[in-house]
Amino acid sequence: MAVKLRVLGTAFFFSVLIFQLASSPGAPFVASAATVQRAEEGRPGGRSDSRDTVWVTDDEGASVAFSRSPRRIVSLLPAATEILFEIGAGRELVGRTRFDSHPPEASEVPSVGDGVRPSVEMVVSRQPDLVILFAGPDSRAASDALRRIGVPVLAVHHNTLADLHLNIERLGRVTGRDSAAVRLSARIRDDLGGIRRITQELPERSVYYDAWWHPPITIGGGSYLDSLITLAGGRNVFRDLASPSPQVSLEAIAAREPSIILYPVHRGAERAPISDRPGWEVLGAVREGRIRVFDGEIVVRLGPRIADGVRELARAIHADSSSRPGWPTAGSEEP
Amino acid sequence: MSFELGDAWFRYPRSDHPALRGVSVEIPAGSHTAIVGPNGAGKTTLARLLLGTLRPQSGYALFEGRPAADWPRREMAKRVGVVAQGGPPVLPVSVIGFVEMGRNPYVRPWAPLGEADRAKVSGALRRADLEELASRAITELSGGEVQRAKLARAFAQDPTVLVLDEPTAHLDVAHEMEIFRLVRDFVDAGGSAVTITHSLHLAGRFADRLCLLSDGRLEAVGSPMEVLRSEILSRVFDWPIEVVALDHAGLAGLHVVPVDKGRDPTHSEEPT
Amino acid sequence: MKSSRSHAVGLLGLALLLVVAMSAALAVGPANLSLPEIWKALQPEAGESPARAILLWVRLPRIVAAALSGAGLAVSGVLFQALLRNPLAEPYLLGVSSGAALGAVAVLSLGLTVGPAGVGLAALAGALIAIATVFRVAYAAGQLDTRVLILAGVVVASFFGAGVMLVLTLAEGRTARSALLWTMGSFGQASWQMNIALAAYSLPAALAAFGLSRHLNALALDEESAAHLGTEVERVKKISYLLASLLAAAAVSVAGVIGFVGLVVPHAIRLLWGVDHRYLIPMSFLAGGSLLVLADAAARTVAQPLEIPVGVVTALIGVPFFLVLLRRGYARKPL
Repeated sequence: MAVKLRVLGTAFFFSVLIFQLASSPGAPFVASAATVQRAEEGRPGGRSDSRDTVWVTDDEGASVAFSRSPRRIVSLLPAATEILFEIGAGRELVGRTRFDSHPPEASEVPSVGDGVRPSVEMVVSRQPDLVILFAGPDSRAASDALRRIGVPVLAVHHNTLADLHLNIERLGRVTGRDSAAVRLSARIRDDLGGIRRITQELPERSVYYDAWWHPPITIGGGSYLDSLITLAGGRNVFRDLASPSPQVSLEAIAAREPSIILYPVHRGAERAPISDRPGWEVLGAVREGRIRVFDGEIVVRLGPRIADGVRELARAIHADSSSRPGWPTAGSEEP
Repeated sequence: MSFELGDAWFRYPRSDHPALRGVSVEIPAGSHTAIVGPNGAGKTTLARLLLGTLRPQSGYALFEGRPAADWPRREMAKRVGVVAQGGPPVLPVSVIGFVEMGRNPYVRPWAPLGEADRAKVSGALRRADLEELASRAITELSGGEVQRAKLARAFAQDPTVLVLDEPTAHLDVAHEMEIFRLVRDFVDAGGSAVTITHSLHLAGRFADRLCLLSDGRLEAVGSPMEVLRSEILSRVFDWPIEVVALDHAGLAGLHVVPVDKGRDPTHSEEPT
Repeated sequence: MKSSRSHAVGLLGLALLLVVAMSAALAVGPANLSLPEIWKALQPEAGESPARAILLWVRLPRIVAAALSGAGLAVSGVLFQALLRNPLAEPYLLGVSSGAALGAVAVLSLGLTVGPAGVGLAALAGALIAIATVFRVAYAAGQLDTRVLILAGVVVASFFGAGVMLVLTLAEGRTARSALLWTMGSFGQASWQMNIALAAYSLPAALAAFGLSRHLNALALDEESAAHLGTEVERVKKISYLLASLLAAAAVSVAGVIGFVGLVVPHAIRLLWGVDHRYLIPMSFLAGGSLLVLADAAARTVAQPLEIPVGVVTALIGVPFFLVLLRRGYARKPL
């Protein structure tokens, strides 16, 4: 009897476990212009019935079909907000994160709170027919919940320059503004190319990027900032580390002898001088004052203004070469 | 036959020497058996073997023909009511709640107490003369009242056997007599009882049979007359003891008199 | 002394409290739905609308999850306190929460895209491993020694806790933060699917615990007396341990580590209504559910649209309330 009970109990336990693993369909929502399909149902392939149906696949494997472009977009990605405004789709934006500061028109769009752990309630209350958010474990609960309710979701990665171009293209396609998107991508490429041509002529400087110091956190090869530094003519001393934001030690920094330290400052934040940090004078760059302060805001946003960020980095890295002729100032064209 | 021990040995895990050595005894139904002996003789261990709380490491301990330790606790509890030692209660249970626990073996897990159960409980309270104290917290009761409550709880179990371990320790004479009387009434009504007690004279008065334990061995078993003898008691308790037959104003019995070594004439240590 | 009538009143009152708490929680949230709106949206005839979606697919799953978790944690607390004969015992003393945290944190840090259900399952797995380990150590020669149980539990908890810290140190910055947030507890991941699993584990377990009430009452005296009253002591201890652990593990896997409920709710009920487990268990069930429902409602509204961890709220609400109760004195309330 006791054995039977135990077997039953275990069986019950495991059947609930298996049930938990299975996914369950969600509820219908506002009849929207889009339908959502899961990746398991297969890629759409060349499936457009009508010319107007646009299929977009996001980075979580979900494909979203739009028979007409979305009219009420909630963007939980500051970069997406900027992109939408840049390609002329700003009018369709009905929700943004509280961090979206650019362009100025964005502040007129209602905020729905955080982008990373979004409040599903706030998002839903804007009645969106498209939500764009970061693909990742933090947002997974929200994107699942939204999909269950029937709101179309595009969960995207946004970590590299390639991601930037891909997302520009996606947003262009979704909003029917393909040509504006293509133009934006091209402009960014040209800008970056122009900057690279100049920095190529300048001597490469080894760089330590001081993202945080207690504990010391820098950027590794896995971060797009590393590629920006390269474009700007620098060489990140920690580029061999795969992690995007590795935690290192003072000793490790000293061993790599960076010739300059890039010191980003973010709007509104005070940062104490590096020379105050106990022990950091072991670095030649600190002793000889080769610390380049720059505007961290511009650089950290992987968005349409990324070329401005690279320019800022280049200016910081080659500060002693800024008197060279032909040096581009922010916003100017290459002569 | 209620209980039967056959050459039972038991040693506690952390102890060097055995608590019980080869004890064989029968406790027949319908009797009141008292288990007596000095401290550390193994009386409580014996009770635990009888109840099946412990299993003898050698020999056997049977209850109604089956090894006591094999009895499911529930079945045991329906037949045997136990009044154990144990300090003053700390749980603020009401007396009636305490006694109701005696019905645990009978009540199904998710079911409340039935009419029959309540009747047994009130019957038990009445027998132990606790009706007035029924709604008081057991922590507020005096020592004697607590013992009566334990007895009432045992009664509520509707047992055929009572096992009591030092039921009257720390009680004054009135309460002692109350307890022994209740047990005697129980036995007279057809039940059996096993009482472990220090009180030799009350054991002699109330019990039908005595088992005298010493150092884990059964030293003597039989009627009070047979067991309560001067030479046996003096040897076992390692103290000179006189036993006097009493016949005073209609009260018959044995009076057990420990001798004061320094004072009493016959047994004074000093040569005269 | 508390009569059974006062117990009945208490039970009814607590049930009412739970209903009121759940209704109140349904009415609050960042979307600021008005009561008439809510009422209209809940009508069966009402069509799909954002309000309805928010109520049924965002708020209600959380509320139900909070109620089930809180109820489960409270009953788990009652069982552990009975088992360990220690009023300070609480569900997370014996390594359940550390094991669950390690499971969840490991999965989150590996960056596996498993979604909240997957994280929950990993947490459950971790919890079960911890539970099994502690049990193995404490269970010898057919006996569950409660002193060994406590020691083993504390040690296992430390071990898994150290594992959590190790994983967090090595993990990527963002994952570390999301893992940390998970451990602090939140009902943001709640879904109907998870609730079904949670109910499947918690309700039978709570019911079984209730069935043990008389034996738990007997055990409260002392083990030997309980045996004389017909309780199979070792079996009851084993079952209590397993039920208590299962309830705690289920709650943790849904919402992360929410302390305090399992410790305080049983004591509060005891102070008010006495120690009889036949009432203590159902009352703790209802009170625990109410507490957590209210705590979750507070967690998602006080700093809206941000969400603060539920564990913080339970401590902030629970502690003053409990201190007041304690001051009123441990009144001797007989059964």
